[in-house]
Amino acid sequence: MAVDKNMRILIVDDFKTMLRIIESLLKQLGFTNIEEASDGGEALNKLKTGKYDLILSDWNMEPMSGFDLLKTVRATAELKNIPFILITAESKTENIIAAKQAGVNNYIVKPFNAITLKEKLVAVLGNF
Amino acid sequence: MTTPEDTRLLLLYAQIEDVQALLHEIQQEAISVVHHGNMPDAAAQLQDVLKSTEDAAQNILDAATAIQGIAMEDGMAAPVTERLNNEVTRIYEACSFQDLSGQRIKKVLRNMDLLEGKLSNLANTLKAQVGNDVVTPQAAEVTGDAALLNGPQFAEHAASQEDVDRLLKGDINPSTPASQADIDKLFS
Repeated sequence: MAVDKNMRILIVDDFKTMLRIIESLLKQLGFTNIEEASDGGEALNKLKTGKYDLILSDWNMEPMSGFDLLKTVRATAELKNIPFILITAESKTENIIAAKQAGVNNYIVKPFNAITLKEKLVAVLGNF
Repeated sequence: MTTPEDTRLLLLYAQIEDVQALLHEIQQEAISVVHHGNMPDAAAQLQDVLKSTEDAAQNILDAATAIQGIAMEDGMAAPVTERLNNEVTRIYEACSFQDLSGQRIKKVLRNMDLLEGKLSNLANTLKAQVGNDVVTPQAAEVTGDAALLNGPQFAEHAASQEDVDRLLKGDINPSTPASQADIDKLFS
């Protein structure tokens, strides 16, 4: 099934610069329907009030981290099937294992490039 | 005649005096760090770095977005569009420096906050244990040319280029109206 470039994407990061970078790279890939949140709590509020097709989230955020957001999303019936990619500077093995166990679909380590972002999106969404 | 027991007691007493002197010294150092603005100033400097690098990164991204817009304009040759887009992508990728450096700075700020709290507690504890006769050390006075080494100023205290140009021209003519903000800056 072809990837719908109009899918609703939520990007979550507490650094405005990173939100801007991810949004710009997604737009370069043809995705246009992109919304932002600055921490897990704000993201969760948006997720509960709208239908999203993909979540790209940082890990280290306060008051709610991306990891806590992931666990909450996977534990919530109406959200649990949304593809979730962590984009984070956390690169220790224990982090990646914990994220995998919590149900993350893919994991991108910062700093990353546009090619890596596309590869992981294709791995999660299919070819586009 | 001094017995071995007396000798051991005298040695113990001397060691206790050494420990007490060291506690005084530690207390003075702790008070100096907490009260003479070193920690709060360092934290403020780092906060300023966070803000200014964020502003700079946003400016760079604005320019990159503008270039991308130009690359997509009608009439632009396809190879040129592709090259411009590739370079713009490199700019986007490079700007992630601000995120990573920002995370490191935030971590340092958290640790500084913890350290400041612990030093305050230590200073208070030692004061209770050692007594109130410790003199709070004064910050060392800096004189001569070294006193001019102030480093970058925060925006609210910094002179603008206009301010500098006016001062260099000796433009302090009372007939030239100066705003209260201009006057305040000269005296801050």
